[in-house]
Amino acid sequence: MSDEKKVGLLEKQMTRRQFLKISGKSIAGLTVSATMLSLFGCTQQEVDQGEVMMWAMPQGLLVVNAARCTGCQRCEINCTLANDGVCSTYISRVKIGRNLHIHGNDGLLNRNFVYFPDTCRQCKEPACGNACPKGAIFADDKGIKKVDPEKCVGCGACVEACPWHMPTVNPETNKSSKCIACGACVAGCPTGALQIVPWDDVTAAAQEIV
Amino acid sequence: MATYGWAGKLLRVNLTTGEITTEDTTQYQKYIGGMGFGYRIIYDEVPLETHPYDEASKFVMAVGPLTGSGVPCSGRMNISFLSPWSKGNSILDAHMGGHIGPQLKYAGYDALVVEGKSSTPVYIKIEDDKISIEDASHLWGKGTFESNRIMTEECGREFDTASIGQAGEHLVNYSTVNTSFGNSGGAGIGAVMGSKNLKGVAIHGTGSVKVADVAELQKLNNYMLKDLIGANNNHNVPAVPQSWAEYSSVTGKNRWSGAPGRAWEKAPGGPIDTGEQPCGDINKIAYRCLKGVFDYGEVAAHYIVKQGGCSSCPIRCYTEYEMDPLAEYDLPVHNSNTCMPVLYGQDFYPDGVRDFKYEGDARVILNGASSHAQDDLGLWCNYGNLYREFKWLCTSGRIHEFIPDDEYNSIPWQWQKDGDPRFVVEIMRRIAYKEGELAVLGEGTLAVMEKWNLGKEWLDRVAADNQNVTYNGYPKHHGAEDSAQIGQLFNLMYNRDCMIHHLTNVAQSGAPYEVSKSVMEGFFGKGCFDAQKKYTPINENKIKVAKWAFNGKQIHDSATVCNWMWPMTQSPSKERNYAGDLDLEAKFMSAVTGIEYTRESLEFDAERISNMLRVMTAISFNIQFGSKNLRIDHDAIPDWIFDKEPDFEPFEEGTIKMDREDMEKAKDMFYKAMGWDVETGIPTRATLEKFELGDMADDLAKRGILPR
Amino acid sequence: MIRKGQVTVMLFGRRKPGFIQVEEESPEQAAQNEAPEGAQNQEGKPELMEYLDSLPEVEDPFPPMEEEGAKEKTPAQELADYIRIRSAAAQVTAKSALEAEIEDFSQRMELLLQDETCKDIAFTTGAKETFYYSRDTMSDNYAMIAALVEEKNLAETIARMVRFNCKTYPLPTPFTYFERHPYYATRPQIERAVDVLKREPQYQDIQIFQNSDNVSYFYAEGIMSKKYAKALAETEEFTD
Repeated sequence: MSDEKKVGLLEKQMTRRQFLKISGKSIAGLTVSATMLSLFGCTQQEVDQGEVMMWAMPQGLLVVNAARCTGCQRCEINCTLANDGVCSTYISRVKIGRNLHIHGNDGLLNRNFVYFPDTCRQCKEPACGNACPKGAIFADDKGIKKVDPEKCVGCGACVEACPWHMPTVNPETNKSSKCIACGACVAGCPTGALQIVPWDDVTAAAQEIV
Repeated sequence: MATYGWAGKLLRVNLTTGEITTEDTTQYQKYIGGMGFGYRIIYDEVPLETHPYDEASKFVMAVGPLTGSGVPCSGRMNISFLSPWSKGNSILDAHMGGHIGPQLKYAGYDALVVEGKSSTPVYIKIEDDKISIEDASHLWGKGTFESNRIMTEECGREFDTASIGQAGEHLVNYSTVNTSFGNSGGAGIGAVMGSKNLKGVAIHGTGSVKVADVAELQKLNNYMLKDLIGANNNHNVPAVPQSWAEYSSVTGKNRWSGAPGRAWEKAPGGPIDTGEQPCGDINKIAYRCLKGVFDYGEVAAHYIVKQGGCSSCPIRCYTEYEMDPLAEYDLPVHNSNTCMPVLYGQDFYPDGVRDFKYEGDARVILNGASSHAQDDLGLWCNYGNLYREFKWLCTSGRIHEFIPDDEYNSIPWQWQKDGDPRFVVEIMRRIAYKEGELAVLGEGTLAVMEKWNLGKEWLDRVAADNQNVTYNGYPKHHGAEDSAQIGQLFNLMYNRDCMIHHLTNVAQSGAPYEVSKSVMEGFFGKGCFDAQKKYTPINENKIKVAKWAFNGKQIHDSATVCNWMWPMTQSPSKERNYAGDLDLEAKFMSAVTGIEYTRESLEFDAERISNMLRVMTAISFNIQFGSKNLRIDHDAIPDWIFDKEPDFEPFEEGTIKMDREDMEKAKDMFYKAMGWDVETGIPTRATLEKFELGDMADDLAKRGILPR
Repeated sequence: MIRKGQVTVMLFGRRKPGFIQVEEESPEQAAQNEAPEGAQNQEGKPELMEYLDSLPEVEDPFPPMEEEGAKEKTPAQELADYIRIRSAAAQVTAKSALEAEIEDFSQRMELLLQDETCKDIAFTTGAKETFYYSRDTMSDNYAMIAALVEEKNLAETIARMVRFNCKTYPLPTPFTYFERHPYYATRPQIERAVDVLKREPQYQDIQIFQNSDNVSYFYAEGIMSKKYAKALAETEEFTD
């Protein structure tokens, strides 16, 4: 039945390194193996049409599949309950509410039903952090860029600098809210439009075709 | 004052003077929110003699402490106003889902009270504490989709908007206010807004709902989503067998219609199979309800892009379609609606329909055309009476008695014969623009009866197109067919269709009767829950259920949570013996507001609202007809309920035909349980004082209708 | 440890529509997906992993991962895992199939039944044989259905399910019930089964009627009266 060995630690690390290379970039134009498609819950056609985006996170590969998003905002709810102790859409670190009607060429008002959440890219060279006049955005020991509320003055430089305007200055606290990769949005997504696939599984799927 | 749960403020906009004010809402908190706020405000501020379209009339858009708090299925908004069309012109509500209710809350308001009348078309723009009355002359005459689009483009993409259509502008009694996604509130609110020259509202809030105990709320969310929630209408077993489930709906028809082999076939990037959605797996919940397949069968899947719905709800009951055959007729192809407008399009074609692209797709496509037209025009259907009455007009053989020849000849009947989707669109347009005699269909069932001289017997008829559950102008909204006397009782209580889903959700869940019965008897005692078409005479436990459902509906429209999903009566979990948790609303109220609620205390607050409804109804009936007795003048039941199915006797296995004497006994018992006078069905002073509604008792006394 | 990706390949000869993530593939797409390692497809689109290899190395800013301990499993536990994986994918496992594949099957099964960690493994007996499943992921009633489907005797399946539905819900069963997942019987197959039901003495309790919309139903005489069955098959006006 099962005599294969466990995925090795080094192999997992290698997989993460590989996926960091395309973190947040479009994978349209690439062919993805059937095993991997099955693992990510998407189709080649979705990849071709740019519906699928991936981000390498410490704990796994964040896969966002626009075709599965139904706009329920539970990601925003879970984000703000977990991080702010209140419920809100505006200060959520994942953004779907603002995308429902107009989202580039998509959104209801562009006469289609394509709307999906923006997530923080956790950029290697974070524009938000680089723009912060107070150096309030720092990388923690897991490599996640976070806001130090002690230093943040709520000036909004990070919001402007981020090409996707992902951070938000919370008008109630006057502090920037920025994604800390806590995974609350993913855990509560009722369609799996947002999911974090553990590096174990990604590595196993990658090895199958190697 | 901002507190946990409630935003703490209401916003008042006077369209005559342009004055914009806010008020503290602490004094209203005992009325919960939504419907409760609306009733208290209307009672206090609008004399019930007021015509709904008068400048002195007002409407209240209100949300509650749970709206936008993160509680599942808490995306709804309640709108209270005086009825333009039902008997007595008394208090009623429109209810709308979508995202706009939570936005109002995030902007910092529990309610928006609109009064007065603008001299020119306007819309109200709300962005936190920046409120403005904006020119809407460029929107007047436009459909809801276009005017919502323009408002959003003008205000910004983060705004949620709601707009009336041409029906509301033309003061059509059957009119709605609609969001961009087609979520609508009906019952004539479109015309009430139209009478004020108010085209719509645009709302964006950057604030938040404060939560007293976040950890508890997160725990309850998880508990509800893992152990309690089912599919749409909280149906707790899947429509077709799934491997983890012990049971499935034998008829194949329930709202847990997502299943292996059924896909969102038009999803961008190829079909997405809805697969299995086991109890406990939060990341698959949204595939449970594949509403289109429930509505039309598997053929619908060919046109499904995805499922949509309201903010915070993991059950996506709005099927979003791309119906490409409609392009040929220059009709919009992206359509979405989940309620009556997607069910009755074919009724406009009584001689038959023809398929478009796939076998059996005629209903799908015609309903797409009809629902989009209806939503765009902002036309309401009175829970299907609009369609039933049009069909009756076509099939009764009497159309020439009512419609003059030149009007009749101007109707494109060939389109009807051809099954052309433009036919239903054209009929809707005429009604929304108040064109010709046909337009009386949009004025209400009672207006139709009066104009066409149909007489009381028209409501007493045994006929498929007669679903009128009272003589007041509205049909049943899940009644005796699901819960015998219980359903019949709560259908009598409102001034529109009752919109109570407490019992249909259990009865139509697809679970075995013995399973549901043991859940219900666990909550309410022996004999409280009858088998389908096999009901027993009225008993005390059924009265308990009726009271729970009636008051519970007020909880939902006040808190606000969705009554299609709530309460969590049953569960899909075998480990729980399929029992849900009727304390859950109170648990959420406690976690969010920080005030200790129990099921009893929350139901007590809701019963206060039930009594306000009853008092206002009694006063309106007294004003309009000099009535002193709601039992006779409001709660009378048409004959068809008792005379249908002549092959059966009441209580015989196989029927839901009701028994006159038993139903009158049921009313006696229900009024008594509510603390109302048995003879008149009007609340007593003792009851009203118990709920701190002494002022209403005084009002009844002054009018001579307070029971002795 | 059996990995998700490999499971589909290893254990399931037949792909059922819908379970987990099996999507319909076009022939071209299937060809693409099965292209040999390193090859590019006809349109010249690079394969994801190969493309990643071709990109310049980047720094991994995240802290190193930690090793997790793995537990060795006994042959009986591995057998249980095998049944569990199929069970999670909505499939029961026939005893005969296991016997054909595993030499010491009966010995292993005996150990499995005694193993405290395998209490979830259960079996159901169809008309002809025994099927195993895990109660962690599969319900007893579904295992009954899956076993009937595996045995491919539609008349027997209809008779058992009609009696079950009549007794359990209690409801008459529309013909369409057997057209849906997981039965997927066609109308001609159902009609042939109806001939058998009419003919064979053990099925004489299974009766057929049409409701007023001409929809065909089964019910089991002796469990439900015809009048009640017919009344239950009449649909109420459909509202929302």
